Amino acid sequence: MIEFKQIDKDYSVGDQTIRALHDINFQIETHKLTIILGPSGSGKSTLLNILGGMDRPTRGTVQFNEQNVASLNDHELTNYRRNLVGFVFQFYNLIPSLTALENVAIAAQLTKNDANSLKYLKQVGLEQRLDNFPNQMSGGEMQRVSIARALAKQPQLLLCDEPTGALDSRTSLKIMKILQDVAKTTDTAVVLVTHNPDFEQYGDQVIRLRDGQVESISQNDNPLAIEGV
Amino acid sequence: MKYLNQKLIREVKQNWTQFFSVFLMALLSIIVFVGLQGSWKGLESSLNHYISDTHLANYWVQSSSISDTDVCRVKNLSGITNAQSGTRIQTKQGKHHLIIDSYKKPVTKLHVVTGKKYQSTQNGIWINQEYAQAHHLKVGNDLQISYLSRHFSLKIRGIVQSSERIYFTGTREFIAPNYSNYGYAYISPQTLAQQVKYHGPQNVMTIKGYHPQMRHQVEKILQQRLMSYDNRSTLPDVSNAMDRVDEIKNLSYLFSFIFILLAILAMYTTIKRLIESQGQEIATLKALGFSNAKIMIHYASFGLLVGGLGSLVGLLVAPFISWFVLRTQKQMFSIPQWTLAYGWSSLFVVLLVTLICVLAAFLAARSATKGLPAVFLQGTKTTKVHKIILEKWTGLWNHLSYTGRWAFRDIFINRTRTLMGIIGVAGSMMLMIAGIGMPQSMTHLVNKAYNQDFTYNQRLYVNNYQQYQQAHPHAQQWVQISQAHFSPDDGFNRLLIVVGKGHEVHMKTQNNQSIKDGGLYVTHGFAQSAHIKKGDQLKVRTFGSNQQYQFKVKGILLSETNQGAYLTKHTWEQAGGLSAPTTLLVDPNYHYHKRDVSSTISIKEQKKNAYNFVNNLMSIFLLIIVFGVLLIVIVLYNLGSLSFVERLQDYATLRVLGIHKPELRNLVFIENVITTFVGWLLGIPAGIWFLGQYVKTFSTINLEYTPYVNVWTIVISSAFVWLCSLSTTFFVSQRLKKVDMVQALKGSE
Ligand SMILES: Nc1ncnc2c1ncn2[C@@H]1O[C@H](COP(=O)(O)OP(=O)(O)O)[C@@H](O)[C@H]1O
Ligand SMILES: [Mg+2]
Repeated sequence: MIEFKQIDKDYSVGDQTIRALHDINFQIETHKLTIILGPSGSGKSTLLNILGGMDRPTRGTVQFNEQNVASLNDHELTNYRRNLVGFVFQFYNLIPSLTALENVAIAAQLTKNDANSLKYLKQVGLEQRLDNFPNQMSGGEMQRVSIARALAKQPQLLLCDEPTGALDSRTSLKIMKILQDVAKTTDTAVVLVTHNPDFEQYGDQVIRLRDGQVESISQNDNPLAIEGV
Repeated sequence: MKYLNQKLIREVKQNWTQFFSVFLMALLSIIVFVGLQGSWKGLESSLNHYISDTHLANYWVQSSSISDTDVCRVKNLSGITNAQSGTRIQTKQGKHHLIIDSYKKPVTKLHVVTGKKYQSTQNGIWINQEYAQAHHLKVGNDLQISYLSRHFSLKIRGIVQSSERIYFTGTREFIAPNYSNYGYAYISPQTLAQQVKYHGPQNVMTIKGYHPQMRHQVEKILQQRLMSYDNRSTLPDVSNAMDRVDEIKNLSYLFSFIFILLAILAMYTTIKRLIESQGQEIATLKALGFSNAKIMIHYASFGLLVGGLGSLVGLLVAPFISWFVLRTQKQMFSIPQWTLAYGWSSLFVVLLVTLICVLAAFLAARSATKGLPAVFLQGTKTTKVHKIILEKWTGLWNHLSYTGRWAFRDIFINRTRTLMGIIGVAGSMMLMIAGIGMPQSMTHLVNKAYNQDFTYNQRLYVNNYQQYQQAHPHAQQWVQISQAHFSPDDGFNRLLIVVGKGHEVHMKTQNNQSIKDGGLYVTHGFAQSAHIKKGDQLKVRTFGSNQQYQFKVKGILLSETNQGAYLTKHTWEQAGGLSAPTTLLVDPNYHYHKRDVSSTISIKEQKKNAYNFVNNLMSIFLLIIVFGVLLIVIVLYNLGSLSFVERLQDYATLRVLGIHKPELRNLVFIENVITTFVGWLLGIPAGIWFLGQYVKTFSTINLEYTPYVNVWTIVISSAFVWLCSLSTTFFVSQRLKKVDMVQALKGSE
């Protein structure tokens, strides 16, 4: 469904060039949870940003269906993000003065599909909290709102950058379960970035990064299903 | 500490626009306050020196005749140290008017610019400097003078200035000096008798000292011979200068108040925001083990650096502004020595501005150092969010878009930020309306007086009313002007103007009535200060007569010039008043014989003179407008940019979610438009009120200034404020282009 072909990403800092990504090739499929694993500074976020249309690669193509995302202009990239991609951030990035429901609804409105925002809050188990503001919720709850917000757009691609980075392990598992379910039960492909090797077992596909290069890609036909959280 | 200081300098460099704006606001506040203070205090102290050096008299009396006994009786009043009688004659030098005084021993010492000191034994003439300058007269020149039908020549002995004539208009018909057309001069009694061949009675008296019942005493001593009585507050030649000090002073306080308030508000917000954005840095410093005190002192020095620097530069520039303002006043006032002077309040304002900057920095740093470093290092924001009142109005609220709800909640929840924005806009409107409205009000006053209230073409001063009236029974419109003592009044004599039949006087009452028979019409300014109402009974005694008449006040006249009272000739005569008008107001084509008329004044001259007066103040108003505009731009830009920066993270999130730039820009605009609209709406009445206060400070005993606001004042002010506010949003939203979405993912600052 989406394919990285010979992606390079260079950053220039002063007169130095930092190669954050080098010759990256992989594919992402619908109904699968892809986990991108690597130590800090290995280029995970850079990769995800290119995938999500927030940044462009220096070289290479990002093939999404028939089009090359890497060659889109700013307006087209915005439409790509708006209509096809959902994001979940490490620090949730909810709008503080909108309630849980409104945070979801504002995203749903962007894609102009009259999605029922409530449905997505139910999907993440927050139907009790829809009138609460972000500062009245716990980190895990906020992250679930953030996921609901991403899902409300009914994206083809759900990208999560260290979504559990600021959460305790029990809450983290809860989030992982939700993401796993999304990958399994909807038409949305899920990509999750983490530095935590414990999560490897939950992915259908695991891409390991080191120093900006792909170390290995492994397919997992029987990922561990998370139960009872 | 060395590294902290390096850090300080680096941070100032990084955020230099914000620092520069705080610096500019501190600078502007100091320039405006200290600059204006230097000029009014300078004028005040120049005046005071002049007045005390020349022993300026306290009372001036004109009378049909003054005897030695009269002088003795005045001298014997308690508190009176000196009284001298003399003679004043109106002469002509070519086409120009020369008012000559002759005293044996003048009470007020003349200031000699060049030539000899005035001596009553010396022949020749001492002439005033401005007149001499205008006509290139030098000591030793012979001056050809005519008095009545006599001509004589006098040698100029000295060029002088008199503190009795600091603001010399020559006649009450002019409100500004007209130094080339009107001069004053001094001759000895001997010269008066021998060369001018004046053998009439003495007609002026100047008095030095203080007596609480002076007006009453003078009236008692001179009775019906008394023609006019003035003290330092009513003699226009002196009072105008003293009033000007108060005018600039009040103006500077009133204006600086808003100005400094706005500047302080914006400085405070800017510094506070700047330091709050350093939350993580502060947490890091704390984690490294720096004490709270050290950190607070470090950040307070931000405030000290920028506020102190701005104030310092302001102090250096302010004297130029003072000098600029004083220079404009030099053309109006005849004072030999001009100095700048400053008061303690200048120092106070400097300290205040610096202190506010330090305090803002200190408080912001203190709130950032409170609590554990970890909380800050995590970067969690802790704004208390809640539902707002508007949401109770569910019908409306549910119709609002989510971005609309977001905007309104933010407006209601970040009360300080919103309030700052509203005050910023409202304050800007006040500055603009007052800045533009003031010169407009003054121009309006002149236009109203000489295009509406009076429509004559010329004023003729007729030599003999009886003769002229018999020869030209249809001549119109006669007016009779005399100084009068009204009771009750506010302690000052005013003019009573008796108007004959004609169509040159048009002023209207509050109820839009013109002057009719059957009562007295009091001008608004006089009515206000003497608490006179329509329907009151007012007693009037005109000088030159012993008779007191009583009239019912028939209306309050809306007329700015010549605060006093009007009535028709018919009403005056019915009450028993004597008609002896000397002024004939005539239309353009009116023909008269030169021999019947002693002098003429055209309305054109009067208008031009009045515009001179307005233009003299214009440079001060312009200065205020320029500084006001500068301040408005900086303040609105700062407040706008701050509220943008505070929401940058949310904007970035929306960008990631796929909102297009134009949509986002609209969102930023909506938020700004709401605050601007509220501020603007409040700013209009506030501005009109402020203009009223501002204009009032210019009113004097003789002139009442009234605020005049027309649609254009509001339109121009609104246009400018909206333009500033919206273009700020526009410029700020340019930064949306550079919104770093990647940064937004990394969590809050
Ligand atoms: N904007 C940037 N400018 C310069 N270098 C960057 C930028 N963003 C990331 N890098 C560099 O690229 C490399 C990969 O960073 P990143 O993708 O954030 O790693 P990860 O998310 O795996 O921790 C790092 O060496 C980082 O320093
Ligand atoms: Mg990362």
